[in-house]
Amino acid sequence: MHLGNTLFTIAGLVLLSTITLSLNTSILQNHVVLLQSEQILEGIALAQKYIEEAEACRYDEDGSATIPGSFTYAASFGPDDNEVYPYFDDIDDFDDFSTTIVSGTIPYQVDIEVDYVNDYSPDQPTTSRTYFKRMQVSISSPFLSTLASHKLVLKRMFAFHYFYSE
Amino acid sequence: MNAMQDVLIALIIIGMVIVTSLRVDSNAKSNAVIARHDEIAQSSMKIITDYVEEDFRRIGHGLIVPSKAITLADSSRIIFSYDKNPSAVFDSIRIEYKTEPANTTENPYDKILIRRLNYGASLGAALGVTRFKLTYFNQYGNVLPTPVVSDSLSKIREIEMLIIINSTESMENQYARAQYVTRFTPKNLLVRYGS
Repeated sequence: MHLGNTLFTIAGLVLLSTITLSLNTSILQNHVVLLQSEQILEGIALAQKYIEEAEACRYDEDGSATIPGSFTYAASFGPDDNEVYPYFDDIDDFDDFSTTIVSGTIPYQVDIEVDYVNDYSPDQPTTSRTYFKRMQVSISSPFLSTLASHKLVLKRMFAFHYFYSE
Repeated sequence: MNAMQDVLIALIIIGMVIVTSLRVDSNAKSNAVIARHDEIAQSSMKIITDYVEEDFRRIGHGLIVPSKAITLADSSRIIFSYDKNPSAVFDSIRIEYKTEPANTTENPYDKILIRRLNYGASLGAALGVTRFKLTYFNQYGNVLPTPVVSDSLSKIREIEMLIIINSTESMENQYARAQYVTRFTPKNLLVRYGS
């Protein structure tokens, strides 16, 4: 075999290898995108779970409180001494709650914050006691790499409500 | 002799190139199919959860006694009612969700999630639901054993739903999978009007 032919063969093989590798990379990226969209779905479902749990809770620890002046101070948000998840009884018990949920092999870090907000500015926490509480559920995972800070955030504003006689 | 040797080497190299090309082509095709199955599973999940969420959130809506909205609650079957349009004529509807085997698909484990309205025809498509599990909680967050006995139906405050969808067809014995676990608190079950 002449040197020229050998070089042509080697060049052909290098070209084939390059095409194969780039095809593999594209397949891998395709898989990563699909897996991440699946993880985002799971993360949203998880965040929604905590919001729905809070939905079933009282607005304030004091069941008889009906005016902002008698609601819990924002600085006192969080579970009382005898309250543990999942037996929270009011929305602000979820404040500063954090846990790690492992789904399959994927860890999801859950962080929840609860703040008072005003209806005219629902995304601006206030220290004043109001008729509105905003719950912010952050789900982070190293596998949510397509999202900024590997994190997705769901927020829900709860208005003062009274469900049933207790 | 040299020419013969060159031809043989060339044939071997061409053979290797052809085999490699075919394998790459086959891998690319099977991966495209797997990705498509994955995408279909996620789309199916979106379709199903949209329906279920809309219905579950409206349990008891517009009824005179919302706490009696759920009439059957089992681990994979539920029957409930709500008023479709409370601002108009009272038109309470009864909705049933249950699963039935999907005999027409390749996947031996998938089921059809049926939504049945007012004793009418059962509607559902073979979207690859392999698991549909419902868990019920009372106002204290305690799990109610299933099937929920009739005395406890009015105690249901939250419903946790687990849906697992697998593709209806396999690729190299692999089924695409999507999972969704979430919880619903139908607001009308938190309200107690009348008795």
